[in-house]
Amino acid sequence: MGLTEIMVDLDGLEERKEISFELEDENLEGLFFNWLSEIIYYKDAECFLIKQCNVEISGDRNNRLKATLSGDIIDPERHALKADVKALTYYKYRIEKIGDNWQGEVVFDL
Amino acid sequence: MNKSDFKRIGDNIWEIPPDFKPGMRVPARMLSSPELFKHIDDKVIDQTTNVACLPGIKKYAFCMPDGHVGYGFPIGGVAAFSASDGIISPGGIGFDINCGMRLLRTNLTFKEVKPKMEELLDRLFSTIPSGVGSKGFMKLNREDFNSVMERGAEWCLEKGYATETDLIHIENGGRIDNARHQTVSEKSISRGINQMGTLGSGNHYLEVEIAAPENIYNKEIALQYGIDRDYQVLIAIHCGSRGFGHQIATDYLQVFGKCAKKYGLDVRDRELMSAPINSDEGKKYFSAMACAANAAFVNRQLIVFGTRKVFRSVFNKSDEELGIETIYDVAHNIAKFEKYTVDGKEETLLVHRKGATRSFGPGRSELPPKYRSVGQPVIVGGSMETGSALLCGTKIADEETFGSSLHGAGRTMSRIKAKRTTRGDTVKQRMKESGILVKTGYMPGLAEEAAFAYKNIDAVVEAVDALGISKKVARFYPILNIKG
Repeated sequence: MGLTEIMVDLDGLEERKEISFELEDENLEGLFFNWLSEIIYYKDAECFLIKQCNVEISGDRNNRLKATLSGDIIDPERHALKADVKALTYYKYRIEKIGDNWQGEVVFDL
Repeated sequence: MNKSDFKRIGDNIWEIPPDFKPGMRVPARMLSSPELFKHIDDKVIDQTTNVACLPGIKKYAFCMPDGHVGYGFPIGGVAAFSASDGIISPGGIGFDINCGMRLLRTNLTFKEVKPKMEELLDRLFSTIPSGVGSKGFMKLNREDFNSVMERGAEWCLEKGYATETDLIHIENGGRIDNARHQTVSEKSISRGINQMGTLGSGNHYLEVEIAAPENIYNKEIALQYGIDRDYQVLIAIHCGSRGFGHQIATDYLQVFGKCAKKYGLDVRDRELMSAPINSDEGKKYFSAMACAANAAFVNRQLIVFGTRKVFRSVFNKSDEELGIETIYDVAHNIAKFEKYTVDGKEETLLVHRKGATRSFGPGRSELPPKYRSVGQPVIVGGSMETGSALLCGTKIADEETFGSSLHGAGRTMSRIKAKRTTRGDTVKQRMKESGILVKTGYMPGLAEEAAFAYKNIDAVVEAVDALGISKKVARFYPILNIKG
């Protein structure tokens, strides 16, 4: 949601469309990168902004993902649009496990 | 590592020798005035010295006076690599491939535009799409887009969106060769096909500017460039390849990450991932980059088409009466094959310019015929409160900096800090009081783009003028600005 919130006020988003996809990479670090990049892709390719998501991670190395996203189609009349995100960068990119949770730091190119 | 590690070897040149950091193959050179040098971020130095480690690099890793922290290369970074055994790096080109500037002259003066400023602002804002999710005003089919990728601005000429004069005054005629649409992913095409003719957001804009007589520094060259009347109205457009280029950069960073081991490439910074120019991956990326560059030339040309339409309507004049003509269009995020003399021998090099502009001097055959005697226009964008500068390229740049110069004022402050320092409506009011009207879809973006978030454009321009790599021609001040 942090990524979406860079681009639009979340309050105005409705759940009007659903998108599902699967991703795979060598490890969780690569998978997370692809996940965020995929959200940026849909923003441009289908003018889609995510409101809710259901994600399942699997695989020996936590390297597979199945996601169902629900969200809205960008509409300047209904949405308070903000900055456009060009890409996720590798600058300071990290994810690590802390206790039972995963924490990460990412930098987007605006 | 910090500024004290550099040795001042000229008035505006600082150098770190290659034995400074393990892996450096050439010295790093910061081009900067003493005052600007004091404020350079240490991370910029780190990035420039990392670039100096890349295989096949020739002479120096440069950072221009507007240099600031980027991804991989610093923004303002220039490096040239042997075409035979050097590398190509997306980090040396940027996510926004062929982000660049188009400058147009008109027959209008401020006196004629002043009474219609509000109308012109509203019409430009409603006609030129900008911001998140913006779509171009024309629908391209896949065949069109293949042609956009491979033929660039030539496609615009064929479809009636450009004049022949436009193409003559765009770098490379608006078309980079060896662009094959098969080297780009379906994903990148999906991202970009509906965005042709859109500005984007952030620091991208369309600006109407004035050339006041007291700000023309070289009247002869200004005249040659088409600046021929007092308080002439000019139009500056700053944008790039949109989602198409961004996705290509993302795709190939991942491709290069996977093949780094195969080519024995040490990846000290993942944003500096690279591949040998002559590898399969390197050739495909160059081709994909060329596709994105061509799309960016088309993007800017379509915005010009929309702009001409607005001006015809607002001023009720024909194209001939308005005289809206391209002075020049420059790419400032790109890699090009160019010939330079290295150690007494002419070589073909792949010059990476990341937030840097080509600055070819007089006599270059690559330039439009009417500019060959004076050198290439170098268009430098400042902040939306401070306008832009026009310089000309020089033989010194050809000889000393791989034909390169600066591209803009350079950020000094993060967007978050800028938004904490001021508000968008405060900036808008301040601009109005200075005689500049601005329209945007995202008000906090105005805070992010406030003048104090950038270096002083006059200071960076003076630095390159003193170095001799570009010479001042004119300075333009904004009256209207639209941004996403």
